[in-house]
Amino acid sequence: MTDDQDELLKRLLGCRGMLLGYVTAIVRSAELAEDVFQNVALVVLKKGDRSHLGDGFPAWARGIARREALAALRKQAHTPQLLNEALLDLLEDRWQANAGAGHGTVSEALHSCLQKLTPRARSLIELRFQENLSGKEMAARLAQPVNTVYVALSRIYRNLASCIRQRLAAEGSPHG
Amino acid sequence: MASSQRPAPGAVNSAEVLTVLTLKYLDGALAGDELAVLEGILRANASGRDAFVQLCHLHGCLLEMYRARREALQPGPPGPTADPASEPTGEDTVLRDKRPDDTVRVPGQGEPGPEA
Repeated sequence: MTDDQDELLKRLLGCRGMLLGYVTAIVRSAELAEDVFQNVALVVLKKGDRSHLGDGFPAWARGIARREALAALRKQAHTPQLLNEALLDLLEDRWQANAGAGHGTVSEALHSCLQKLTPRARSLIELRFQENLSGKEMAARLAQPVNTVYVALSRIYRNLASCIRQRLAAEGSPHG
Repeated sequence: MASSQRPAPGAVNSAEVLTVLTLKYLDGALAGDELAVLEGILRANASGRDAFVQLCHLHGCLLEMYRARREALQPGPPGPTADPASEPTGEDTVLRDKRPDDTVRVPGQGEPGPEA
């Protein structure tokens, strides 16, 4: 691996959380998002050079991620409903704004904020992300209405997002 | 995660609606006209777009944070981070499974995992 590829890989890993969120917003599957991310890594290493290492890296990587995600969806037998492409374009500047906070910074804040959740909230997060259950599957496991589960998750997400904003602001991040 | 226009007092319900629709969207679980409702909110509302992107970003970070634990629960031989209690959950591997010989590891890129 060349020095440039090493730097490209570090930049890519720095954007990993953002890119996984971006790709998941298109493919709606954790497993497929992981596969797409690996394809993105291959393209970045194959086509990237020093000129991509500047501030434009996240947008360049998102462009690759979008193409790879849409290509992966086309290979699926069943494609879930997708936001229309004009709306994906409209969201691009928001993704650009979010890319400013490094993955490490956000991850550290998230790690801390997860510790502040109630045991009940943390158990829901673990069902969702550790056991990889959908909202519907969680509802079946918990014998609760599906909407109740989504409302509970929505409050947890908003609490976590608020906590992360506060931590980044306290640490002086320009994106806090 | 970028700063956002926080919901104004009294706007909690609409924020919750957007969040629930976004989470259902990420699950591929939107029903009926819910996709159209979500698209309408996102088209009409810059703060809604901001919230949607932040939720997706948070979702991606959570996927990444719990990845090793999730993979450890999957059938098959355990990987090098199969012990979730003692290993970081953010495995610093970009190219995995398909071509083990091409696995790339970058020192210092692992993330601390949740200690739940």
